[in-house]
Amino acid sequence: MAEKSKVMTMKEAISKFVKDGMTLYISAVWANHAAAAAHEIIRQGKKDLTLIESSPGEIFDQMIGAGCAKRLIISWSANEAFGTGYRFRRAVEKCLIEVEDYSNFGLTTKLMAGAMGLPFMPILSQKGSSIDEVSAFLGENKLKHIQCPFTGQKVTLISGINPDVSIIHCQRADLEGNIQTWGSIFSAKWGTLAGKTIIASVEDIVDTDTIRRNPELTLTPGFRVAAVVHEPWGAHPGHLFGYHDDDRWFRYMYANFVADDDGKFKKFLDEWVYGVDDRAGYINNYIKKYGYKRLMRLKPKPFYSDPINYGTYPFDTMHMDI
Amino acid sequence: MSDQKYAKDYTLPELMITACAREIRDGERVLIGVGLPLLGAMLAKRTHAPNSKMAYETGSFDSSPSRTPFSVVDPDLVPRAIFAGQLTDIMALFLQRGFIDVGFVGGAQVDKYGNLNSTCFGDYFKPDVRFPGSGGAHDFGVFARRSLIVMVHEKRRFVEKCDYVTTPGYLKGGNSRYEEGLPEGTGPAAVISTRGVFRFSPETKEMYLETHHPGVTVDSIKENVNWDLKVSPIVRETELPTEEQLRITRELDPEGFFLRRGEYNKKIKAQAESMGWL
Repeated sequence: MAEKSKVMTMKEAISKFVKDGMTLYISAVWANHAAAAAHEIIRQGKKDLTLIESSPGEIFDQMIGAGCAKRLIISWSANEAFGTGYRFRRAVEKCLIEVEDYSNFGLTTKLMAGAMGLPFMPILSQKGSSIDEVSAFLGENKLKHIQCPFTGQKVTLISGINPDVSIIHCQRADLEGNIQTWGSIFSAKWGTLAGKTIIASVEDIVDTDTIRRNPELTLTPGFRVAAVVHEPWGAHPGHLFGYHDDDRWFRYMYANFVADDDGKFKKFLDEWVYGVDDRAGYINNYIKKYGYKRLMRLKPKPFYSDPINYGTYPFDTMHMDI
Repeated sequence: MSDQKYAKDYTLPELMITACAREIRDGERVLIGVGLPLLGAMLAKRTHAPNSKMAYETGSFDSSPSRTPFSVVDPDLVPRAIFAGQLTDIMALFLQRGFIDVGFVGGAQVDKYGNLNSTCFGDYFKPDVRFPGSGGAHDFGVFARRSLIVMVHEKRRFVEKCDYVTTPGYLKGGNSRYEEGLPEGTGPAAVISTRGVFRFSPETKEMYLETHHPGVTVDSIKENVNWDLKVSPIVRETELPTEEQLRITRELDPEGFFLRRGEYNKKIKAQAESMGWL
């Protein structure tokens, strides 16, 4: 049985752990897409945040548009194949936010260094480009080139980072915050583990025995996790492997008919963020507007992997009985 | 492929997808981003390169998608894949170690040494236009044995000097890329633009025109490049899609999201209007 439950609402988790001016990692690359958390951050009017993620999409764009972000550490930002990240683009063009650019690999190793408690991580890219020549607010602390003390080759050192709070959306967790995820997870492992405080929203809360039967799926044991939020459909309109597909239709509509227009963007936030109390309210609004059938289309048909044999191991390893 | 009949009725995106596909050799490991190159790689796999393997920076390798992924983060890239990991697996264990043969990159500006800008027009700190940024492109361009650049061809995009170098090409030409510490045996192999296909001189590393697309003159291409573009002495027309290649390309995109975007947008817009999105 759990020592102490870490389960709370998103409203409680964000108000308890996220403060103005903090640096946040939010999993925002559609897989493990922490949309419910991003919307709660907007709802609570958090300000002056430094947001870090390798290739974020709509939810970073929405936080920028809502005035939550002051600085970004990213390698890419757009509404993916669907369209430009207009809030991001305008804010950068008007110098309303500052951006520090890495590549996806550079940025993810920055998080990896932080996750491992290292001051930097050596990599062999971020060379021969403006990415390594130009730095913004990180200045000298963005990266450095050195000559490898062993081989003499030119190596790039990416400074590590430990966000104040890291937020991820996962498949499941138990009450203690042992969180499990599967699928291809982009930068989310290192981004989550780099955080000083971890908030995980999950589709299912399961008992600890379920966690123990598949230990390889555990992203981190619960001692790293501060809050677990039960948030079905928490990644919408992004996806979560095995639980719900990307809502391409919704994302296409948003990117093409909402994002570019200031008035429509504001109306969108009023309806989908400020106008609802939580993720359940958001999903209810979706069902009310577009129907339950459209939502259920996003549920993938089951495709189970074969059970694997972990084995059970006898106490008597000398086999004296034979 | 030469014994097959060439298609007569094809579009520019279809021609470019075929050109992308022809760059991939059987058995190669290919890293792809969003858009036309993805269809090109899928086309190659279904035609002349059945043993090619696709890697996605999300973490999937050699997936078995049941639909055409619209992005590298499509969840359908995981079920029945050979490998499902994370970005650092693909970037560090495959790409940085030199196990990726081909990487596709796009950009807003390219210069004559294949240096690419996908970050901004104008000053980085006060850009005229801000683009999404590198994503994985910088890393593909650094480590892939052959990087392939896919570009919209406008004069303002083929520049003497990029406003910002997101992805290094051959830097200042000659041996400068390798003197900077980028891996030997890597670099841009071709530029596939909306007007033609370009390659790089083995010695000077300067871009030259190899083929022009049907209906595009060499002079018009030279006029749309901001330096004195060199032209291959055996410059010819870009090879057309075969009927088989065209049929498969269209099968890959039945809804027309990539191939008939105008028509697709119109159809969705009608629905958007009826459902209150507009």
